[in-house]
Amino acid sequence: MGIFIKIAMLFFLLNFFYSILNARPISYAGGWTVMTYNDYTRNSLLLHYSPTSKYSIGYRTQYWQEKEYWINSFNLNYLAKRINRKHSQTNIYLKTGLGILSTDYKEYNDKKEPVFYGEFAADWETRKLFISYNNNVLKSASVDGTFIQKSRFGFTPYLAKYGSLHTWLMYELNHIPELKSNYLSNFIIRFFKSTNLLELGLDENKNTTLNFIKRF
Amino acid sequence: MKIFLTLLGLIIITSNTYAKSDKEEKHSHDEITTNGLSSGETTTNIININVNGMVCDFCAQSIEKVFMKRDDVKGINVNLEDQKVVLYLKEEANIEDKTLSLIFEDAGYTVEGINRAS
Repeated sequence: MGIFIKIAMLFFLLNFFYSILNARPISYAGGWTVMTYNDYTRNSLLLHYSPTSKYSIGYRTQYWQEKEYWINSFNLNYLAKRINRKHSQTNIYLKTGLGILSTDYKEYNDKKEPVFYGEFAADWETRKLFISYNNNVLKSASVDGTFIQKSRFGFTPYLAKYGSLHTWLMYELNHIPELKSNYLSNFIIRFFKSTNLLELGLDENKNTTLNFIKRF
Repeated sequence: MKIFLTLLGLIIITSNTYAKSDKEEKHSHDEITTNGLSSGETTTNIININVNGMVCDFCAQSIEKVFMKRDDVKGINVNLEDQKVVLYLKEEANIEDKTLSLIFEDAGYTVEGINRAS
């Protein structure tokens, strides 16, 4: 039940940010994006603004379920390289964040400490195929240090026109060295329409994934 | 299940919001015409641009937003199938090839070729 309350809080925040953005006209000079990722490891919400197409700055809050800690951080995403081809696009991103980790887990009593995370991400995409890889390193002063890497392959069963509903079927392989079972498969269906992207997933342990991205 | 329903409601709300803003902008997704826009306006000042790297709707939306905030642009059509962008300019307006390439580059895409109809 606790997890439902926490997820509900994240969606409350999502709605809160959404209402702020909708209450004011948003300039198209830069793009705003809200992203929420929810899977067996964590729930996260990121709101970011892109001054140019090269980088974005934002605020991220995330809750790690098993480890029972919150991270609130400033987030920076940088597009290190983009390769445009006639029918494909390749991207290499560097992502990083610096913030505060807070936890009540076991011996920790409302402990707060600095935390840093960094991520390398690469993807290749056509209108029919999608391949991506990303790894994520997280380190706090004393509470946690963790490494996760993911790879995805996806395809669309039909080619939808611009503005129509796009559907993608994806397979995601997660590698988490600190877990007993290092590898975990996740099956994801992605719906994409207008400025909304929704992903629903189910992994081999029957944990659900729910990701949502909204662009403004 | 509650989460999924909440999210579904959110999507419906946001989709409706953007349906309104799309109407306000003078662009069309599929209705390519030689000199007219879906809004009913016409122009003979048209630029056809072949663009590399447009693979999804987010790409198309980014390009639309970049150009539709310009005063010299009346409308835009992004065709993902053919990797083409059609710009409908005001009759007296002009955007140099070099400027066009820079705008696309700044948006994250690459111009392969430019063809002017007027």
